[in-house]
Amino acid sequence: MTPTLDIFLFLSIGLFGLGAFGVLIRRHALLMLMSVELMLNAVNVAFVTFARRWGGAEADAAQIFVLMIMGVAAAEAAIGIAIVVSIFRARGHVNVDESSELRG
Amino acid sequence: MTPVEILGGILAAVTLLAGVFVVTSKVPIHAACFLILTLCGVAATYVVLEAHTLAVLQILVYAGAIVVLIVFVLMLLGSGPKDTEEVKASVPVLSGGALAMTLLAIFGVSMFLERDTVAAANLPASYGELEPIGRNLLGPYVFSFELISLLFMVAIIGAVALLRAKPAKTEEETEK
Repeated sequence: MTPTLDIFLFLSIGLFGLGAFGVLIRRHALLMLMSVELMLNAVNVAFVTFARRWGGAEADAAQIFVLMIMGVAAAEAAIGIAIVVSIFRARGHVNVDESSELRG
Repeated sequence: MTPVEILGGILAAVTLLAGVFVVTSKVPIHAACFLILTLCGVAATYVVLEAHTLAVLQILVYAGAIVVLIVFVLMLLGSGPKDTEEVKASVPVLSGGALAMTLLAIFGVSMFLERDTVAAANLPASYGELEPIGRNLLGPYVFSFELISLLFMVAIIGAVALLRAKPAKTEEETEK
């Protein structure tokens, strides 16, 4: 019997849902960043799963795309952490619930 | 149940459990530790899916650089006993969780009813290795390679520019 890769798609959906849930629930800015990293990893797992399933030229493109997503996640984590540290310098906390001056 | 599926099931269970603890930990450092476990679980998933170079790069980039940076900043921000964060079990939280579980259960059941994503066999011999990735990065996909380098340069300049500014001293200036 040929194996199926559905369990990895289940992992991808589960991680993405957990990451989205974490972004909505958490109040600490760095914990929200961690949840965003979970979402990006879920997308990477989906790409690698479908690359393994289809093969061919799409598999090469999928691996390159996964590398690009990893690069984007690294750059976004760096800039996000710089912003978090700037906010901490200005306020003394990173609670996003209490940082609501821009709210209309 | 082939070995790939059993191994994938164990890995998925461990990774998802670690992800649940990332999202619901009270202490931020605990969430960072569970994030490392989640990222290593994802790297193990890449190994099972025969993308070995991506697994190594995942450990290097995510668990080895991004999470380390997050832990540095958590230490810098100073998380003491008063900085624990509880996920309150309020109505929106519980209903969101229930909806997510329902969707996952639907997908899980459909997984066993209609098995579609077959592990194909038409992969080249050097599928997960470094040489095809290197050839692709400098060959057909050189444009995205250069763009990601530009993105890194912009990120470095942006991070330095953001953190170079001194903290606001507006109160002292208005007192004078």
